[in-house]
Amino acid sequence: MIILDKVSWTYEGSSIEAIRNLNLEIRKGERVLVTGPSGSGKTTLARIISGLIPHFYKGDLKGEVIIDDIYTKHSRYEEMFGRVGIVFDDPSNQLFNPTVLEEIAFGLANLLSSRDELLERVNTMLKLFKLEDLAHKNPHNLSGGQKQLVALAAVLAMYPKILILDEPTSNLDLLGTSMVYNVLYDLTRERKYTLIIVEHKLEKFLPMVDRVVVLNKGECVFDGSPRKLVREAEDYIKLGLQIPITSLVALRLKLFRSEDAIPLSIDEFIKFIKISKQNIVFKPMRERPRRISEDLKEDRNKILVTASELWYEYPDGTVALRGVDLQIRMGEFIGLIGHNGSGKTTLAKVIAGLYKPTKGHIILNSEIIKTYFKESLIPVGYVFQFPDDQLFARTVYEEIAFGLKNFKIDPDDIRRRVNNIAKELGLEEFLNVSPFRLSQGLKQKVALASILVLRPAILIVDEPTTGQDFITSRKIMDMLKDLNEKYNITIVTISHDISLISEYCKRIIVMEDGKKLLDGPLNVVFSASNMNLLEKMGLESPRTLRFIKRIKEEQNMPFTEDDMIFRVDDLLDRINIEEESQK
Amino acid sequence: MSTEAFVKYFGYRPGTSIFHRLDPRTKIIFYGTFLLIAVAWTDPLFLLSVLLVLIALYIIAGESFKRILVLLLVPFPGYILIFLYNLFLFDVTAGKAIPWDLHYIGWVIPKIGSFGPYGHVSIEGLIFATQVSFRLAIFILASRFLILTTAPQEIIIALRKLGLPYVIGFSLSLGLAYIPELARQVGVVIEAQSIRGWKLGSKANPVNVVRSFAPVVIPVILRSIIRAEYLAAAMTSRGYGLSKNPIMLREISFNRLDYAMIAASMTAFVVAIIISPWVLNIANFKFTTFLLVSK
Repeated sequence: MIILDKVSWTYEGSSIEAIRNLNLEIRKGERVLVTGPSGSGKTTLARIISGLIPHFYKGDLKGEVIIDDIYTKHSRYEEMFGRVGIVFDDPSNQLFNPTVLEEIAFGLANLLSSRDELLERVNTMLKLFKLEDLAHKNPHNLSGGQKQLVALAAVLAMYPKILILDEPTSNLDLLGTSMVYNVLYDLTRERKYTLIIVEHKLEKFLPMVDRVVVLNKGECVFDGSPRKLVREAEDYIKLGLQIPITSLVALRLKLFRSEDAIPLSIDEFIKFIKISKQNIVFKPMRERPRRISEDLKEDRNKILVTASELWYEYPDGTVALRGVDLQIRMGEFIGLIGHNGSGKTTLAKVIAGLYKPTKGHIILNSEIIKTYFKESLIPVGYVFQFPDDQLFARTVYEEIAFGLKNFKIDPDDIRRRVNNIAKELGLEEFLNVSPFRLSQGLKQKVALASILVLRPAILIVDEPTTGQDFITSRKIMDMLKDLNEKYNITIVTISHDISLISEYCKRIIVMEDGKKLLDGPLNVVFSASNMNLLEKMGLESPRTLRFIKRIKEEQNMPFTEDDMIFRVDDLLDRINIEEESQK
Repeated sequence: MSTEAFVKYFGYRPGTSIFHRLDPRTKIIFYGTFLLIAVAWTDPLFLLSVLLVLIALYIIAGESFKRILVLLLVPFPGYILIFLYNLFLFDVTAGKAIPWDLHYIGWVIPKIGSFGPYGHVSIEGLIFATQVSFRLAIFILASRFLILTTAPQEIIIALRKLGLPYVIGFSLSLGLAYIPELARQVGVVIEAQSIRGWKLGSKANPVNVVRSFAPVVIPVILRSIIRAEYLAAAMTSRGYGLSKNPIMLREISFNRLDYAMIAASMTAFVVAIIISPWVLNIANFKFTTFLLVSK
């Protein structure tokens, strides 16, 4: 049992309440999803329930927090230890032992007094999570999904009554996400724990829980069942919550028995339309206006990069690329997808010139770059996932100017270029501020500016939206789209969020096992047969397409090019029902 | 070289040989005997026989010939360097203490015009320089042997058993756990900066060279500090510091093999001291010298 009574929390050194006057009661065995936009206080709530606030994080805690009959404010952490387990978002920041075995044993070594019991529990966990073969490996050498399972096993080994998962899949690729998701799914079925899952992937997690708590700016703005949440979807879409498509369609077409039975999953949805004998139809596509002017389009047929038979082998012998052919044209907007280890990042780094291919060659059309990108200092720019991997200068100005200085540009020119790019990205007012004092979103902009100032013809962006909420993700993608359309910069986005990038990209490249599996415009890459192929490999297709394809399959209709709808709003506009008898 | 490749050639390799099965404390004692020899003995023939014993141990521990060869060859430039250094300076160092006339055979650097000659080479000097390189080789091979057959955690456990405080043991093991992550981090930062035209400092003045590292060092340090807080939270949530003496995952204990090995090590230890220059003065480089120049 968890009780939060008028709880407010302010971190030391901050003047803003991260949690504001929160009342919450969670019963034993309940499964609660906590969601909300970035900065809404989700992680802080997880820390409060885990007891890390106030025992680890310092600040001002108002109100009363009672966890499993313990008043956290008036007790020592020892009393809570073992009752609550918490798994964090970034798996590499919570593993600190040289082997998986020791990682799982760590908490137990502090909790138990019998070595035999410790070994028995460790072995149970290794078996349960199928980690036996990895027991003696360094957890930091495992894949993201495996790391997160190790973290989960290490926490569950202590047999906590309350289990908190703070965005357990936000830093994982699709394979890792489904690995963790499947384990969590089984856990929720068992109802052995009171479960608190902090997540923003609602589509996956809503069907798993009894209750949803939505936070915004530290306050609870919703507390109720998942079906109640989707019923009131309108209010929460504005907050950036990604309500399941199924529910949105059901709401739009009034396809539910009662307001308390709005379908959360596609299976429920299909069951309902079958019983009610209704057919889903998709209205024909309206022609959408072309945004790119025709003269620009002609330029866009010019080939910028030609790569043939690219091979890349890492010094440790891992072969990451196995003969990749590739052409990139000016002004393209490409999505590069694939599992971790599929070779997509290696390919991007070879294109960026960071790695020299072991075999094969890559040619950049310097003629075009000279003609169209007059101030270009590097043909290909690469924006890394975490801005903290590059920020080092005293001011934002110096950070952006760093590259220009390295290329020995003269000071007047540097000033002009930095100011221009700052204006473009809305960073003018921060030029004299330390980059370290900025928000995550602004840091990302500074990192982007520091590359853009070198005027690359091609910009590679590595997982720009991983770990971000949907509003932020969309803003980032909009910014890239702007750059693409206004300045004709070719964009290559590496991403795991296929639904999002397929709204923006015109072309998708799917990497698998060091080879190009698919490469082409959206309608080719996401044909019915390719979608089956992607699914078999554990890669998703855009959520709109998955929905349409499933419906069409159920209704024995072919999935065609006309069904290539990538935006949820477009889908809702074009979907309709037809009584079966009318057919 | 990636950390994986580094570990492959220079790290612990799990196995089932008798050395893998020994208690880590036994192996530390065993290792100590070799260290003593490398410090005490100075005769190349005696040292060579110990080197051969070490190579035999590698074979028993299941190490392939290819890897043994790599292990012998990689430090070779170091051996040559130490050899030349001692050959060059023997005349004015250890050679001075020799009570007979040295058997000169040439110069390290012959006379060229008005330059040289430098480094008067004697048979005694050759023998002396050889033994110094052999001692270095024993030190390297014996250390590598300990690392090859003993998991780092086992060494930490053994040290904890021998009285090392838990906090220090834990810090060592945390460092060990983070090597791959840190290597990755440094790699990413270097890549992120080199995209912006950064190059490793080749500037003339050393201050500039140090300064040119800042774009890499600062992000790595700041990232580590941020990471440290998350890590500390995770450690707290799993009870770090709540138990003064947490259960050791692996209990180590001596078995019969260990006792036999310790007895053998101790015997070798005593014999090594007895025949060393400190006592009977047999394993002294003069032994080989007499064999070669006793006419």
